[in-house]
Amino acid sequence: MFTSILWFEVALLGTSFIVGIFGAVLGIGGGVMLVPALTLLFGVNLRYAVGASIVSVIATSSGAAARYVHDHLTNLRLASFLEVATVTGALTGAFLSAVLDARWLFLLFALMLLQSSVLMMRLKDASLQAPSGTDKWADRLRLASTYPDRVLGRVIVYRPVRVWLGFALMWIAGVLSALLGIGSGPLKVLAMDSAMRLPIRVSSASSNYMIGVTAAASAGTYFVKGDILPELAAPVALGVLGGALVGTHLMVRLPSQRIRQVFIVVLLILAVQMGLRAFGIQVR
Amino acid sequence: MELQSERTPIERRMDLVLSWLLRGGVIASAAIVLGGWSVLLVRLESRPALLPTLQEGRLIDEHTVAHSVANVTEGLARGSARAWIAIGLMLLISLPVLRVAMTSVLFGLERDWLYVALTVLVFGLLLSGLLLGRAL
Repeated sequence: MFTSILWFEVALLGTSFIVGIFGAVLGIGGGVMLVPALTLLFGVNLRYAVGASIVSVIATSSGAAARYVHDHLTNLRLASFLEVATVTGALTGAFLSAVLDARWLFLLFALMLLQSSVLMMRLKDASLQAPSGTDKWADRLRLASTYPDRVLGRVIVYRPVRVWLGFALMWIAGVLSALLGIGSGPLKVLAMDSAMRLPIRVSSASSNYMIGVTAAASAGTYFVKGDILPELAAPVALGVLGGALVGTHLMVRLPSQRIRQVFIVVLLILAVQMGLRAFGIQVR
Repeated sequence: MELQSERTPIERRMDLVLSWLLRGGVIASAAIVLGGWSVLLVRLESRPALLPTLQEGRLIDEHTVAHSVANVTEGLARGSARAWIAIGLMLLISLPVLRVAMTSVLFGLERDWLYVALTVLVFGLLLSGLLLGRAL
C-alpha cells in the first residue's frame, strides 16, 4: 500500500493521532485499534505492531493523565489501590503465559465482552444517579470522592460499590493483558463502570492513569527484545500524544452516555477480534 | 465556568504536583522523540529496503537497533537518530514508574500511611517485574 517510507511515517502519525483521541476519551491504550491498523493497513509484522502499541498505551496514559489529574477527574486513591491488583495480575499472567495455552481464553474473553457490553447498555451512567453505595470498604479505603462535571454543570459526588469485586476484576484484567497482550484498558473501564458503578468520566480518567503502569511493567521486556522500533514508535508516540491532547478536551465536554456508547462499540470490536483469535485467525 | 471540586487543599496540591510531573515529562520526551524522528525522516529516503523489512518482521540491521542501555549511550555519542528516539521513549516509559514513586511521597506528606504502603508495594512490584523481564 505504501510505496514511500516517508508517506508510511506520515500516515502512521495521522493514524496514531486518531487512536490517541479515542484512547484519551475512553480511558484505553488504543491497542484494540492500533494493532489491527498497523498489521492490516500498514502491513507491519505483528511483533513490531505489539511493540508499538505498548508505546501507544504509555503515551496515552501519561498524555491524558496530565490533564485529568490536573482537572481532579482522576481518583488517585482508587487508582493506587487498584494498581496493586493490575500489577500483581500482570506479573501472574507473565508467569502463566509460559505454561498455558491461551486459545480457549480468547473465546471466554470474547463471550465475557459480549455479555458486558449488553450489561453496560442497560445501565445508566453513575453520574446521573444519586450515590447509592453502602460498601464499608469504600469508606475504609476512603475511595468516595467528587469531581467537577462540566456537562452537568455541577460537582458530582460518587461512592464506589462492590470494591472487592472491582479489585478482583482488575486482577483478571492484569492477567489477561499479560496473557493475551491486549485489552487491559477496556477491562479496567468495564470493572469501574459496571462493577464499582463509578461515573464514566472518573472510570476513564482513572483507567488512563493506571494503564501506563501496567504497560510500563512489560515495556522493559519489549525494549530489550528489540520489539520497539524507533521507526514505528516515534510517529506512534508523537501522534498519540497529539491525539490525547485533543481527546482530553473532548472527554470533559461529551455527554457521559455518549462516551459509554462509543465505549460499547469498542468493546464489541474487541470481542470480535478475540473471537477470531480463538479460532486461530489473527487480525493481520 | 470554573467548577470547584470539594477536595482538601492538600489533595488539590497533590493533583497539581503530579500533573506538573507528567506534563513536564511528556513535553521533554516528545521534544526528544520529535528531534530524533525529524533527523531520521531526512535520512530515511536513503534506505529503500526499510519498508519491506518492517513488514517481513526481520530485525532491521541488528547493530543499529537500540535496545540496550550501553547500545543507546554509544549511539547518542555517534549522534544516531534512532538512539535519540530510544532515549525519548525510555523517558516516556519511565514516567508511570516515576509517577508511582511520586504518589508515595505525596501520600506520605499527607500522612496517609495505608496509601504510602500500597504505592510502595506497587513500586516494588514494578521494579521486580522489570528485573524478572530482564532475566527471562
